[in-house]
Amino acid sequence: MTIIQNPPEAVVFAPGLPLAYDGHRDPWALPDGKKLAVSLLLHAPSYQDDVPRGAIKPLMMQGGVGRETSEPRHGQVARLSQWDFGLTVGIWRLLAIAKDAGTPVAVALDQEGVGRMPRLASEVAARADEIVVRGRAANMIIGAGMSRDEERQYIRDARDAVMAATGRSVAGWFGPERGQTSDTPLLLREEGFAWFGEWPLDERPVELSDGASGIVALSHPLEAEDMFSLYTRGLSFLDYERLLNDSIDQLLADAEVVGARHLGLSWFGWVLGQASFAAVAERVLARLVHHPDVLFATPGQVAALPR
Amino acid sequence: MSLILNNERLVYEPMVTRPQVTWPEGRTVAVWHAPNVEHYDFVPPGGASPQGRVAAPDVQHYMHRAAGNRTGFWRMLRAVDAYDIPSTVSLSLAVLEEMPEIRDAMLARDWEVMSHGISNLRPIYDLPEEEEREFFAVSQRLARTYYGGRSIRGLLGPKISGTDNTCDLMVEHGMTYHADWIHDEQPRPLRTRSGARLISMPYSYMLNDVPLLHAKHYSGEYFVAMVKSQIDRLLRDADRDGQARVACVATHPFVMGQPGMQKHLEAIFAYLRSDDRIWVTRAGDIADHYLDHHYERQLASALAASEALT
Repeated sequence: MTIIQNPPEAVVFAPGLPLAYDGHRDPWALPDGKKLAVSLLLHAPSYQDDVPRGAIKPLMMQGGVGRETSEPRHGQVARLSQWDFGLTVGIWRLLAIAKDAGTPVAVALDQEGVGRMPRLASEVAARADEIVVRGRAANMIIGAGMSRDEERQYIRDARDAVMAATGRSVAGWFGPERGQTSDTPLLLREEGFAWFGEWPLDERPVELSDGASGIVALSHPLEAEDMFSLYTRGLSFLDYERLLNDSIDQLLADAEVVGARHLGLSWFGWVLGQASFAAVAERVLARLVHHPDVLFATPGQVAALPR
Repeated sequence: MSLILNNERLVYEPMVTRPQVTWPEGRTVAVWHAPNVEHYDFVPPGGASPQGRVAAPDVQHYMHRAAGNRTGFWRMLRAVDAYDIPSTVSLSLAVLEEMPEIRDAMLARDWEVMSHGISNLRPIYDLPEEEEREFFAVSQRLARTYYGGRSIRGLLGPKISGTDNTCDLMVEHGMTYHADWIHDEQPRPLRTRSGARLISMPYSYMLNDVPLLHAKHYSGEYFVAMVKSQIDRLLRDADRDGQARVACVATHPFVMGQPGMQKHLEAIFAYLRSDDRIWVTRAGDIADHYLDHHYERQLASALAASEALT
């Protein structure tokens, strides 16, 4: 018997996402009895001030002069240049910090960035353990209004551009502004991706069912993301560091109760790569890399672990 | 000559592959203090509400900013003098003509005037090219008339506004640096239609009292912590990779000039004076040094990677 009559136009649940709850599913286990898998994904998105007609733009974005999140008026380059900081300086600072810490790292690149800045692609390829595809540009997203064919072409173009510019194979996707349609996981699977990272969904990898069966949603929690915590929420960098440390402590404790956990760190060159904030990355990675219960791996490696 | 879109102004090269930048006397981090001394029209052109709070005149808004010039500026000046901080005023140029007391106090201290437009409620968005050319002509005339015959070398657009012609018109009027671009920790070449040299000057919305304290909710203590955290890191990274860098501390008399902020401003200035590796200087001095010693090599290196957009 059902009491609720859903409106016919409503899509009540995300397609292909099995409903599952902690305490009501088999616990996840990691090799060697580790309790927490941690992956680090660095974002190197390119922001395009002039977007071609027909491209879908986000309605709100972080970055710019102050608290404004609507699109800047044409002629204000604050957001363009703040995001570009990630490509000139920020991503390299974070890559150096990860290298010093000895942690593996994935970098997400987009089509416009690698097309306009070949040295971004080649220098990232020389440093990153995994390359992830980040769509066309920071502000040219997948979203409602795109036909399935248009979306497939968007995914293919981005994948092909990033692979060609870096000379690397790719298995992971992270759409700009976490933009998707109902078809995205299915299309990503059909285009050969093994995992995607946009869903802040769970504390362990989630394999999809139905048409998208086989692709893994590897969660990147909003709270652990620098852009969300430092800009959207407006935490101080010290509070953000405290939040990360508290989260790590809690996940390690929870692993004893509900099985191994995953934490997907998601950091932007233009955010945590800023000189004011970078020490947070340094201290958090140093703590994690020496922790006996932590397995540090690339997101692709975590997605490929036995489920 | 064809239009240069904003993304195409940027000359890309990652920090990690660039030719080295150095500053005079072995200093490694140049810091410029940019007080934004602004004028806001009582009723702005078009009569628009300054903050969307009440219709113009918005006396809360107007008087708050006017207080910055009547009391806050002079309080800040006492800290500037105590720590001998060279300053680059981001100036509503109307101040030169209409507030001679402030103008003369800045000139007496050899502050550099960077244009911040004529008046801060008169952005230059969508200005037709000829009108924008006149805007720059008037700007230079104001400086040469009222500021010891000096010309203006840099711009931070009024309310951070600009057009697709701004960079090209700046160099037409003898300017060399544009502070609207915050994409780097070093000055960087910006493409212009004529090929005349123009560079970005790293301004800051991070070390800036308006975004930090006024638009968001952070405290004066946090501003100080941000300054120290940023510059400490820059010093460390410069020691490590040999790349000299730039930081900007941006203030506004109506925020940082408030009485409760003075001790934090003094803490920032004391910090800037605590390390000999810091070159506390003016934006024009940084621009001159970069243009004289590093511009050509940095540009050539970026273009050599055959990634220049044509």
